[in-house]
Amino acid sequence: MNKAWLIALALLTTLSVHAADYLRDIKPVLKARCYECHGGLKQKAGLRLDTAANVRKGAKGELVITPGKPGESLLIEKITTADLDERMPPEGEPLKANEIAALKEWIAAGAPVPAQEEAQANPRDHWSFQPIKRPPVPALNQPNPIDNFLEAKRREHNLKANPPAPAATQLRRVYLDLIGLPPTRDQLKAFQKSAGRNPDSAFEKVVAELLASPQHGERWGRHWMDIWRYSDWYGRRPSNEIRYSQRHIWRWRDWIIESVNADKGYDRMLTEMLAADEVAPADTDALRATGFLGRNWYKFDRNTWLFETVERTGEGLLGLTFRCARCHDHKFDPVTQKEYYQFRAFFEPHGFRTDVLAVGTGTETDNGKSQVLKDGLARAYDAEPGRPTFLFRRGDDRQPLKDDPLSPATPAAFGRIPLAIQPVSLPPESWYPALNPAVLKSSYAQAEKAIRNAEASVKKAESNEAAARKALADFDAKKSQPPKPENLWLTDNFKKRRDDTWKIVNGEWVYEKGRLAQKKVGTFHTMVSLANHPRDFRARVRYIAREPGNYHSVGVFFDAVDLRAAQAVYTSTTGKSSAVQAFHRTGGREIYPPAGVVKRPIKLNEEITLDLAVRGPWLNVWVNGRLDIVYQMPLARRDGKFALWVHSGVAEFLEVRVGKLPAQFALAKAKPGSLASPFGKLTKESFASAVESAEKAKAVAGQQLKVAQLELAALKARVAAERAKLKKADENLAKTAARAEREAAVAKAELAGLEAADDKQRAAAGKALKTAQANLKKDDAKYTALGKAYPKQSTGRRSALARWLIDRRNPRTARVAVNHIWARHFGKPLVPNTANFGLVGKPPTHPKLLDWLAAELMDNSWRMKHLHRLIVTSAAYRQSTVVGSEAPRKADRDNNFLSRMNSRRMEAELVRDSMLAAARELDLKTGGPELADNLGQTSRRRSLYFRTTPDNKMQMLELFDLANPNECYERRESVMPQQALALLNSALALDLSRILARKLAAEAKGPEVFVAAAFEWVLSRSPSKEEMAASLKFLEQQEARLAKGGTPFTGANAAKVPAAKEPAQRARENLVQVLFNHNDFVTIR
Amino acid sequence: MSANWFNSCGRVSRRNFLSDCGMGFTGLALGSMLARDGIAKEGAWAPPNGQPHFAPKAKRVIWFFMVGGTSHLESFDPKPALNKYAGLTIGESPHGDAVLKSKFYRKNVRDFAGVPRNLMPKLYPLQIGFKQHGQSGIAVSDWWPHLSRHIDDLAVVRSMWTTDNDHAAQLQFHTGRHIFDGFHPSIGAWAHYALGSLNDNLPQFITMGAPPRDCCGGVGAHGGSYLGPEHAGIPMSTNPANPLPFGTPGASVTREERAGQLDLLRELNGLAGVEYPNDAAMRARIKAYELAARMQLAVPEVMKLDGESEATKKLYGMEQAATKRVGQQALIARRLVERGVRFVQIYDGGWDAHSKLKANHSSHIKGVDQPIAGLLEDLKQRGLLDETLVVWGTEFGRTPGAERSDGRDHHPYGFSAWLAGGGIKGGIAHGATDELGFHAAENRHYVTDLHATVLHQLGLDSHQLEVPGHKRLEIDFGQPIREIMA
Repeated sequence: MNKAWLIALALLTTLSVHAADYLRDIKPVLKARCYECHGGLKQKAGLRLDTAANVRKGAKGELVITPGKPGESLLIEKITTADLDERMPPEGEPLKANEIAALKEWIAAGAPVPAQEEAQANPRDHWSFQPIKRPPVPALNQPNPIDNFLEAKRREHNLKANPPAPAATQLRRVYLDLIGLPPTRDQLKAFQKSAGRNPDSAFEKVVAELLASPQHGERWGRHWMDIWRYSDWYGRRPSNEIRYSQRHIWRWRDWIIESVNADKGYDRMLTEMLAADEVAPADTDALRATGFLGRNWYKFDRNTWLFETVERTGEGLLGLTFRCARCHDHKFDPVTQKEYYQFRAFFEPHGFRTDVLAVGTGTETDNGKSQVLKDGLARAYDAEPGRPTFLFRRGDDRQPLKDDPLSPATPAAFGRIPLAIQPVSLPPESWYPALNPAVLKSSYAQAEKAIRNAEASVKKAESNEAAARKALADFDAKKSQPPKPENLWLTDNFKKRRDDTWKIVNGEWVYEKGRLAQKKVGTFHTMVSLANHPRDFRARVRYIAREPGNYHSVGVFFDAVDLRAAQAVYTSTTGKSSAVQAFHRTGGREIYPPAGVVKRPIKLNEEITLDLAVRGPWLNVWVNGRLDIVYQMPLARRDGKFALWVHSGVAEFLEVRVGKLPAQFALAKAKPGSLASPFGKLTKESFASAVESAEKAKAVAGQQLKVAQLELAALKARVAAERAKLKKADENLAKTAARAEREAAVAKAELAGLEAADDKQRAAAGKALKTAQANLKKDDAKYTALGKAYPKQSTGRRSALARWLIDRRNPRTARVAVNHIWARHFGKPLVPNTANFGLVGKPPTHPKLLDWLAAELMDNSWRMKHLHRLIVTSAAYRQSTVVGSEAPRKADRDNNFLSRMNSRRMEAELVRDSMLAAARELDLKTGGPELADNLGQTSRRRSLYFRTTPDNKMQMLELFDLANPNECYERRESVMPQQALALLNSALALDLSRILARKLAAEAKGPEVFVAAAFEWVLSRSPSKEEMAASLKFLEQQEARLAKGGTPFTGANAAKVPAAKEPAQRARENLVQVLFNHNDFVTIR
Repeated sequence: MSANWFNSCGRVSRRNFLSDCGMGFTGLALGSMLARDGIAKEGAWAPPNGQPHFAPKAKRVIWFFMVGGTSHLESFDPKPALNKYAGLTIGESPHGDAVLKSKFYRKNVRDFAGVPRNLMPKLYPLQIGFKQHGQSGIAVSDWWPHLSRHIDDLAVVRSMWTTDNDHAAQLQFHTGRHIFDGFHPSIGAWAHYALGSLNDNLPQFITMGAPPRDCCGGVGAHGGSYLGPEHAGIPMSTNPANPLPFGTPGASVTREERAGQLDLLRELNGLAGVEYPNDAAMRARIKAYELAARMQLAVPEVMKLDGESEATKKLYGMEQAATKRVGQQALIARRLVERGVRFVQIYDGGWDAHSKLKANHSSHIKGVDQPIAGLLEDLKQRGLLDETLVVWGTEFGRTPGAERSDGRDHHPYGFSAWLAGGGIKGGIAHGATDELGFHAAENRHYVTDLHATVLHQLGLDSHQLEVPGHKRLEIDFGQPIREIMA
């Protein structure tokens, strides 16, 4: 079918059915396809098509339609021409045939104008660009101003507020809202009592306590982390390569939490986030705030991170969707492409660096190449003040308009707020961070601590030496006994299965004939202890390796954090060759250092006795009584579990014994000699060697003290020399510094000599000492600088931007902030699109309330706790969430007018934290480096401290809609079966249910008290009569059911805590877990 | 117990029930249901209702993805010119201008790390021979003997291109966007979002095998992005003992014990619900628990292959070490789609043959050739291939020139993918690269054309799936490849 024919057909159809109507057939088409360029926002070529009258008016005196004559109308020509450069609209498909036909028809009919058609408003008149004025509070006799505003709207819509929620519900709501944790049972009881007397004052008292609690900062800090898109660094963890965000950015998280707790003004917070390096250049605490900018960093593309910076600053702080203007003028909002790049110019000069927080902080390898600080402060600074900003044609960074460099400016639609950009001269402690008093203080503290530690080591070494001498003397006097087996941490002769001691990870482990057999050939079939073994320990394992298999490897893991990180020792034989070997696993990979291998005969079907002695990094291994391995472990020691494993073979285990390594036992630190195993008979030789090594340890400790003292002296001398240099270099001070540093180097070289474990190390240490001594003889002024120096000036652009943002005249900043706060208290914002206050966003449900709250925030020094208090003590907040059924309420299904409180699902962090809190297992330690996301099931820390990046999220939290670290202005509340599985099957849910049930059973007398306490701890309310009855019946029936046994689920045990053996207690555990799965647990009523 | 409202969920028609229970067809997305109610009133936008936009040709998709970049040259796009001019540089060959003066050269690539990737100029001969197969006579390399037998079922697209010359092209292949543009919904998530469930006992979008590494988009390759986590692919292991995240409590809990718990949970939720009879979220959650309980039993059942005949297992190469892993995944994929799973994504890694291409590709192709061919055969025998769309792809091809002495580098300018079943025309080679296999030259297709084709076969118009507030570019939607549709 050809096109002309189609048009004719369409035309025919239109004509035959009804004549084209402007409002019905024409206006929607113009609106959809033409207004963007020819409407209220823009009038390209001077043409507006937003009303019929404007269409008739044409462009700058030139008509675009000739009424009655579609054939002579420019408009029709423009939309139908085959010339693609000329055809309108310039983007997208051409207008459809029936649309063109309708237009023609309307023109043919004389282009009639409907009565009273309103022109499209000027977007600059949009509400969110108007200045914030404090509206008067409606006088409706409510004590809280908020309620007056809300009540006014309710009356307009014929709605009535709900009564207050029950006391327990209010309490749980406000606890979860303000600190992210449920009340304890005691807090619940106390509140119910005091609320009975005076509900308002009791509630206000609780609110005051919660706002003063350190947990408040964690709860609300996490909200702001969402909006400000906090992310830990990510890229390639295995090679320590950072591609996004910053190392040590957790300091910014801590800054957020501390700032919320200190009730720092929102204005100050924004200022520090954007420009702490300009407004508080020497304040290492404030500088952490610039993590806001550092988070956008992207290794491979500077434009990507500057785009992100512009766009997320726009969305998060200004409710402005800037992104469209990256490529072209904004289609709806009054923001031009040029303004986008002018906004970018504020950020153009900035870069990031990591400052030392203590001189002498060690380094680590980054991505196999450079050395980076192990700890430090990631902070913004103006690295390239002169870097120009260009507009990118169509947003394409390969097409910069280089003829027209842009200066920083803010979008004109925000009104005329003066922007004063003044360069900032930085103080020395800012451009030379090592001289910052805070850094020096911690550097000195670190050095002094090293001295104190060394002093303690000296003391300890002295007493160890004395003890060793006494043990030798005692042995000579035949007083000494070998350590008794009952001192051991673990003994097992495998006569029966012990679920309280071991967990089978994989493989087929069978207890038979008084032995434990691992019968399945496979990869690292492992059985692991439930508890951590002593740090310094001795272990004996007796076993027999059998056919089938290839390597017949049998061994142990220790320091096993999980299966991905552990130390290991094993014996193996392939028939052709056999060995005993030490190795380690890190990041899930096995690393086999050559130093850990010792070839020795190992036979199948013969009993092997493997003995280990471990102290610090030193490992000694005996096979059948012969010391085979003397090894210094390269992987740092950690607390962990002890495991038995068989790889590529099968084996029988006869016995295992693990215990603390007796203090007098001295390990061999040089090549294998004749030292007896700690399970063997002690000889005079071993006592004598213990004395010898205690003497050596004392000498080492003494030297360490000397090094520590000299290093502090050298640090002080270098600081003095560097400080002087800021004014005028001082030759004498420099020489003193050089000398002090060299003295410390000599002492250090001497220490290395003392610590050398073998001839090779001794030789190297000797050489280093000679060099150090030679250096000492020099008489020059060359010492090591304390750290790096950076530019001494900053452009002042970002602090100017910050001033503009927090200017009382800025129409957006406060409105956006209070909308975010309101949304998180009520589960629903006042302006529906929290990140878009523009023309496509929806208008506020309560514009006056929004402005009043914004004014209230600004007039109270932007302090947020004031606003929180005001909001949560309102009657609206304390209402019940019950959904009424009367007609007006049905009409307001979305509860826009708050005739009830909204129920919500807990955010991901709250689900986990509340479980820990209810079980009284929560660790309230605050702050510090991020914790690995895979520790979430076992660690007791609050959820916001775990690593969160687009690549690394705690799986359980992710299922509950954890914030997308790239963009999250509102959390989602999905309901998924996987959430149910997590609460039913996760280690956390199972363990905490078991732990809480154990605690409650110990405290509660009788099943009724138990049930009541379980409800009160988990759901923060008492059970109803029916709930009590159902729970009691369950306890009884479940106990009977459990007593009968049943079919276990397949798969590895998720839980770390074993289920109770007694059916009655196990039924209680089951009940507690059901309550954690109760809808009322994850729901905030 | 408020039996009435609780049971009302079950009595009404399934459709009403689901929306009554706040679940809709979009994978229990309460949020989107609420949004639907809120926004639909204004007539502006509604999330998908689980219905296709037009009559679908395919109901489900099995999507194979070769992580690392499979050489199109040694697979589905033979270029005899490489043998002829082997050892010469591209410039020295008669086709030099066609490659280096092409408007695409350097232009359609966004350089990673701001540095153009080196041209591998010295032409490297094909490392394996080619033969024509089937009625269609399409040439396939001799490393693919099993798949070759199915060539008349395959539509090979030889003119794919992408813009990332590093492995984040893995993300791009699934989301349609370069990693510089961040994360966007993956193709599987779109299908899941649009159509939702065919079976409530199983997750609807399942992935097997190791996804791209973090550098390259990670789980973003099957992520839901702004569509929400409920639309993301669920990683499944092929271990029947514990195939799902949190899929089992393990042996310390018995089935009877759990059943007792779930009974109590249902009762307590019902009791508490009396006070909140209109709480859609609560009803959705009750339903989610029922589903979870069923899923927990249904998923291990899918993984248990005891019921499959030896002949079937053999068809997938499960008895050979080299093909066992992928064979098992492919067989499970069949079992999943048979049970109504919408989208199964299988990752196979290790194809990044910068050196020793011959050893690398001969062994990796061996690992997937028979399993994939076996899957096609099995689907066909069971009459499932008609409604099951099988897609095979990789992030980019490999350079016509040699890297080092015996490898090929990343090649985003032109590479191959293929589709089969689900209303796809078999025995067709669509599009072409130039003589050296460098640029996609005829009927060029950006990766989103593949997405649009998949969605089209599922009865979906990608334009209609746009979500307010998440403006997409025209290239994000792609164009369905109509020439390969039956």
